[in-house]
Amino acid sequence: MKNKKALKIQFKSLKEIEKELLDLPLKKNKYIQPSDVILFESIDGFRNFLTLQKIEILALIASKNPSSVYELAKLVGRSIAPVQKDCNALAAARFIVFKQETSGRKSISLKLKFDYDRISVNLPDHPYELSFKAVS
Amino acid sequence: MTQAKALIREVILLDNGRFEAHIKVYEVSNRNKFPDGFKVSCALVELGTGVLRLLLDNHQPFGYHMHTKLPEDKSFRLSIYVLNHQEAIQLFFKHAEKVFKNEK
Repeated sequence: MKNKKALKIQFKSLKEIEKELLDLPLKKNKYIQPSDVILFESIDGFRNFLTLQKIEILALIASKNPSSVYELAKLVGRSIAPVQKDCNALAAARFIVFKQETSGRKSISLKLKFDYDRISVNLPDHPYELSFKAVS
Repeated sequence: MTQAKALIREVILLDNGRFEAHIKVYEVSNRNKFPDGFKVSCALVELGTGVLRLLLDNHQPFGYHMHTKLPEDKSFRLSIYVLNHQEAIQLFFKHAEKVFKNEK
């Protein structure tokens, strides 16, 4: 069975970052963020950012693979402007990427790409996963 | 010349995902440009627009300094007097909080 990829959400407060910095010369540790990890400062910040609308967008990109924001907006049943805004925010936070593809007629269409099948949220006490497999 | 060794390379989403901070600390051998042996770069970027709002770096001849009038005035530098890069980054986060408050 093919290994599925999970996008990992982790939390690190500014205090923890400051502690890392203090430990740095002593432990000679490295803190290099892997590409499949997105760091949030707080759980509240994550909740406010990843709204239900954005989760729906991620689920639809993962399952239906829309070729444009216009197509995605039709799938979610919302107007294009707020969907575009949500997509821009998701892309800027590295949840999704806009991929330029040249079609047969050499016109360029934007393709939304989401490389993960689930989001793993590493809450300190209650880790959970948002799976996109169930969405048809 | 030996290559800089990355010690910290992190991007953290702040203020409900409205901003992101790019934190980079490298151990470097060029003591002329970085007397304490660390190259530090902290950037506060507006998510979505990609506009750089605050930047901390420490190259000579300025030493530790922050660009606090971004994006309008890129050449304005606020010199900061700190003992080490830990203090400088703490100060960067304090300034970042001011940026968040000014936006609200």
